[in-house]
Amino acid sequence: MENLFTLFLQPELLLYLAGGLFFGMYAGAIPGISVTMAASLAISFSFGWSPMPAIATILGVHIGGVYGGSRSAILLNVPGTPAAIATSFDGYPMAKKGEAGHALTVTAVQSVVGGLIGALVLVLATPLLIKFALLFAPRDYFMLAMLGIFLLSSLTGDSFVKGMFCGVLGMFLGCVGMDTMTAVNRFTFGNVNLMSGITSIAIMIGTFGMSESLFQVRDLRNVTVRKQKLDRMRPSIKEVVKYFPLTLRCSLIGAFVGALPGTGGDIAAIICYDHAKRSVKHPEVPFGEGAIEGLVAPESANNAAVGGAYVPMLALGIPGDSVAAIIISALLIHGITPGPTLVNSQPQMFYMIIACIIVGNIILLPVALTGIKVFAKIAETPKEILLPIIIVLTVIGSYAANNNVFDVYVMVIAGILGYFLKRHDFPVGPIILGFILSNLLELNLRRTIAMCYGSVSELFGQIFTSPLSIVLFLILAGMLAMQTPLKQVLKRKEKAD
Amino acid sequence: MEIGTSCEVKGLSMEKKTFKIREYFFCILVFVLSLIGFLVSVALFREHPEPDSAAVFPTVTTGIMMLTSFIAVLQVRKNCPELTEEEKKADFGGNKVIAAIKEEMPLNSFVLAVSAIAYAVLLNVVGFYVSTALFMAGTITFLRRGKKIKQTLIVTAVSLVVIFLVVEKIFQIMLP
Repeated sequence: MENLFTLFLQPELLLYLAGGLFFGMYAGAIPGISVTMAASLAISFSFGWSPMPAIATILGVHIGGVYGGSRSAILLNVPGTPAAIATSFDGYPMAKKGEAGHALTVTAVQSVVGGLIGALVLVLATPLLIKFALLFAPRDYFMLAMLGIFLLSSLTGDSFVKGMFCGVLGMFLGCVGMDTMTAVNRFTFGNVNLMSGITSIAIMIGTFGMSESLFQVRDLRNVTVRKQKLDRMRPSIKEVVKYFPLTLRCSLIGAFVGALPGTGGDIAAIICYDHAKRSVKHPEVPFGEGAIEGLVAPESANNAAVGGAYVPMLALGIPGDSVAAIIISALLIHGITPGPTLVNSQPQMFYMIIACIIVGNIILLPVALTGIKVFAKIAETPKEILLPIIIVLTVIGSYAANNNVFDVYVMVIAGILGYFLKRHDFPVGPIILGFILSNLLELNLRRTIAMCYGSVSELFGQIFTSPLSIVLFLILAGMLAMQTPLKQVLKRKEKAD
Repeated sequence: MEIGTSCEVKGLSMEKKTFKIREYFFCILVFVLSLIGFLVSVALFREHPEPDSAAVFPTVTTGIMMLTSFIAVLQVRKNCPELTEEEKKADFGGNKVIAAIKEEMPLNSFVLAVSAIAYAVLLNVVGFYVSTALFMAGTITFLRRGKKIKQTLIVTAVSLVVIFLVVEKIFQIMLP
């Protein structure tokens, strides 16, 4: 338990955490800069630091960034992050009525409360899942990781097929380089820079940062910058108590959704907004016109999902969302392998991550209530200036990882590829998840093949004699079946009945 | 027709009219690239035919990429947006392929992408600060169509100073 207080025994870690919160909040608040982009940049800047300050900073970026998206959602009706889409439904109407200050206060408080509940779920669920994780065979890890890719592919974008393509593209990019087991070169084409593989940071920054900039610059005529009036903001305990039952329900849903591999705050927020609309029968103000419940639900859910996302990450080494995937990348860069052995091999790191999430959510409140007017000015920055600056930051970020210009080339290519993929509704999120999970997937696939001596019948025999494997296999098969024409046949049959 | 924007003909969006040609081209291109990747993986598998060799994972992944991109090609017709009679009769304002290219990557995006490539190439030639100054001043001036040049130069200069102080002095990252 003393490891939980590592954060307080090294007070400078609190500064790194607060710095990350600050950076994440402003990055998340600016439309066009996603939490994933901000976290990728944070990794590249903290590459040379020791592990704990680097991880504390990136965790702060995650927590601050998820909240930060609500600022521009309320003030500009432009969600800063996908997790804030639902916040704009009632946040912006409140701002139009002159209640922007009140809306911002509610989102800040609910983010903190939701985040703390998510952190509590993390503390309670992770040790249980670790015990459970020790029962996982290599085939179970493989199926669970594929489940994450399936889930993200089906939930992002309109086409599961396009999502799967991107997820598998990420897996393929992750295996470029020299194979660690047999030293066979794969897709290196004799290039010495590719032998150690493609740098994950370059892919992340390219697909999220560069491609988004190229996408947003397409037509600047339609961008309007709105100015807002803001008054003093004071949190109300009475309001917290009044809406606590809704906060609690949405936080628990958010933490659960966040814990599912491949899903995150954006999905949790939409699910909980819908839940609030169904469960709150007589709001004081109708939903969509400035209902406080319309802010409470998504904001508590998306921050609770942050805590939830670290449950599978710490217990299984499988990220709960794309930012957790980036954190895994950061841990691996610093020589730390997340998973069921982390709590025994590196207990200080394990508990520091948990402590950062708890303390980060507490520090979020004072940080969130400051600098609103400064933010309003930053958010009014014209896109013609903002987007080139973002590209410069992506160049710096991708170079800083290995001090190698080759990574900048990779980032630019990934950015242009990402632009065309987005143009054709191929979601880029699954690329990152597939890339991060590539090593885990390949290692467990090869172990599974070795354990069943390359025999398919032996493989299915092993799957169908293990209850856990059967459950995972059926979920995967069910998800795949629901994406085929079978789904349309069942729907038509339902309509006819 | 104003440059840097997606083409508009008689107030109607080119997006819908060029959807089919653009979508088919891209999905077929993706399929062909996946096929090439698959063939290279199979060649590697022939050199290392063990069931748990280094060639299995690339072969499986490129195979799935081929399959999914093929399905995406088949789904293009289904996903084509419905055109109204008026939209069907409207012409492309010139060549169909040129209209599709302009819609696929409008001038702003094209210039920014080419500038980013030039920026990356120049990093090792003239160094970070010169290449960044050229990139920022050039792209902001282009996006503003030559307006507010003084402000552009000030923003560029201030950005370079901030980057120097934060990145090199505070984060101790040495730029090229």
